Amino acid sequence: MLKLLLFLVVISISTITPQSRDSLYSLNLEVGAGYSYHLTDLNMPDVNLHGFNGTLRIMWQPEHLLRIGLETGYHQLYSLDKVINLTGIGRSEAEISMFSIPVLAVFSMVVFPQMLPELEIKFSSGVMFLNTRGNGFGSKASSSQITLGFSGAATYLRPLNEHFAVGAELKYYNFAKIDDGNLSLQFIFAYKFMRW
Amino acid sequence: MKKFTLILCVGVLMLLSSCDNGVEVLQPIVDPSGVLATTDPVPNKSKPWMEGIYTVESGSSVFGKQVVLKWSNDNLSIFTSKNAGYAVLKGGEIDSVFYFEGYWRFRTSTETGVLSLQISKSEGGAILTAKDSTGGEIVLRGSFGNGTQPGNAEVILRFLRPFSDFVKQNKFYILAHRGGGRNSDYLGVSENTLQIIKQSEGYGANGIEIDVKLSSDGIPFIYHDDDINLRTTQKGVLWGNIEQFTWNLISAFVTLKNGEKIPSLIEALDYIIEETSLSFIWLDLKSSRNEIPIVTEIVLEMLKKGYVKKRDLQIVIGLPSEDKLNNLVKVKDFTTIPTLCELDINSVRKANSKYWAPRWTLGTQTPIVLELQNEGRGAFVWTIDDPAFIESFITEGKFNGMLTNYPSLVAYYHYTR
Repeated sequence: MLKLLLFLVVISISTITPQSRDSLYSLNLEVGAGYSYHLTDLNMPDVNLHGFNGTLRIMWQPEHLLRIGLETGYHQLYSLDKVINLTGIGRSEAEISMFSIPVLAVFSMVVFPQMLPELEIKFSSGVMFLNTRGNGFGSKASSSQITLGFSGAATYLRPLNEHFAVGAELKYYNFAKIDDGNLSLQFIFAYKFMRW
Repeated sequence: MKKFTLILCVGVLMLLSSCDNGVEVLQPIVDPSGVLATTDPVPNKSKPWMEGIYTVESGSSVFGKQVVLKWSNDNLSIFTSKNAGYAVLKGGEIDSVFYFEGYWRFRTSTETGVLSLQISKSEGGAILTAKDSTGGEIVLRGSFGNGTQPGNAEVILRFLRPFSDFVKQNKFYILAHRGGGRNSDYLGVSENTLQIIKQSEGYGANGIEIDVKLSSDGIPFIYHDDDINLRTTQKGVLWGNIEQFTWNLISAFVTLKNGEKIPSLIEALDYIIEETSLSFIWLDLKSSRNEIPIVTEIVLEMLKKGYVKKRDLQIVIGLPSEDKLNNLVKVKDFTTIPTLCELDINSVRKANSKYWAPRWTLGTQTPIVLELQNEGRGAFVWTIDDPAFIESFITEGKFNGMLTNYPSLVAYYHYTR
């Protein structure tokens, strides 16, 4: 284990140090919030598919066009509030809602560096924690599950100064296990908190 | 690098092709305004004389060389060894001529088609309706097709012999998995539902295995998987571990793959007693919690109901693991609870299980099976789907029954003994 650590340190130093003389690396914190619409072929007219979508992301930005990072967030997927009538049981107001928390590896690229350097195209892949909450007939219940998922996004970030940038992001999420998608439009705030 | 890319591409293709592509098998529907609308129901006294082994003189592309004819309630079923094939027909009689309309299906594929058969007065009809009939030569003639359209391919089935004395005198339990079939068998109804239970006898089963889960408020219900997913259910608003939801929420918001509702254990057992002739129910306990006390209470109540209704019915609680066995022995008078133990024979004796059910890969285990039978217990083997193994376990083994996804195939090999 010690040998492996030593090896990794040596490799890291040998790869980063020479480049750092003529290049610039940074770590960016990106926070987003906005509106989301759940894309589903669920045939229930009473389901509310509109919700809030928040994103928290750390991106490693090297001198290259390709950037990588980690993303999490909170997505309200849908909610339902209706009166249910069950034979032999009776009527009750039932509330169901679902939200997800993604943990994704993000790959981002400036695709038009000359023409539009503020535009990044992102692809993310990872897992999503799906949480369902139900309330009806006098009792509450909730359940969580994990699904594989991916997302694709277009992000426009306009620098305000050396450290800060603001912009917007249009993003599509896919949740494999429930075969649904989610479209979001977020306002993004970016902060370059470490440079070397 | 090229090799790696190739392997990656093949892997991705295999992953994509393993997905359910929405295969839909259309079951031909009997036209209620067809020929059967003008006939009387088949007399009950005629049915046993039709049952037996028939030679296929025409139509071997679907029915092979030999078939079994067997009645279950109002359905006449035909079983063949070819592709685990079967046919389910409704029948009627008028002026000593018998008409049958229904469909055939290969269980191992999605092939299906319409089937029409007839017994003329001179080729068995008169014998079957005679007041003091003792049976005789019967010939069924008709046609079959592919898909939902009526076909014109000829089929002729000629009576060869009745079931053997061994078959008549020894009850063999043909137990259909998940109430009659899995969703992956594309039977038009979902696994573990009242609808599949209703169809199971037509497939050749005289018993079923159903999976029991427990809702968060302690109601046992019939469902196989741990979570609500697209394999078992239609897209809905509830997702996650199904046992974490109350029964009312499950009832209100979960719809099974083919549009059915999840039945509670009480609903399922009540339905079996009232609407079927099934004589054996194996409750496969799937809950992550201890469901044995509540399930025992329901089973004992339903056995009483079956007794009052004069039903030949056994309901046993499966013990698939040490945990379940330990839960059982905590119950007062546990040795009087009807159970089926999947563990070793010492556990069978400890639980005083009525039945032992070893996995088929352990072989026929004839000495142990005979030993338990001498103790007044029975033995079932699970879950066999391979035709060669089904045949060898039936001919060489001494089991009292078999759990399978292909009950028609087990029926064929059992009734041709």
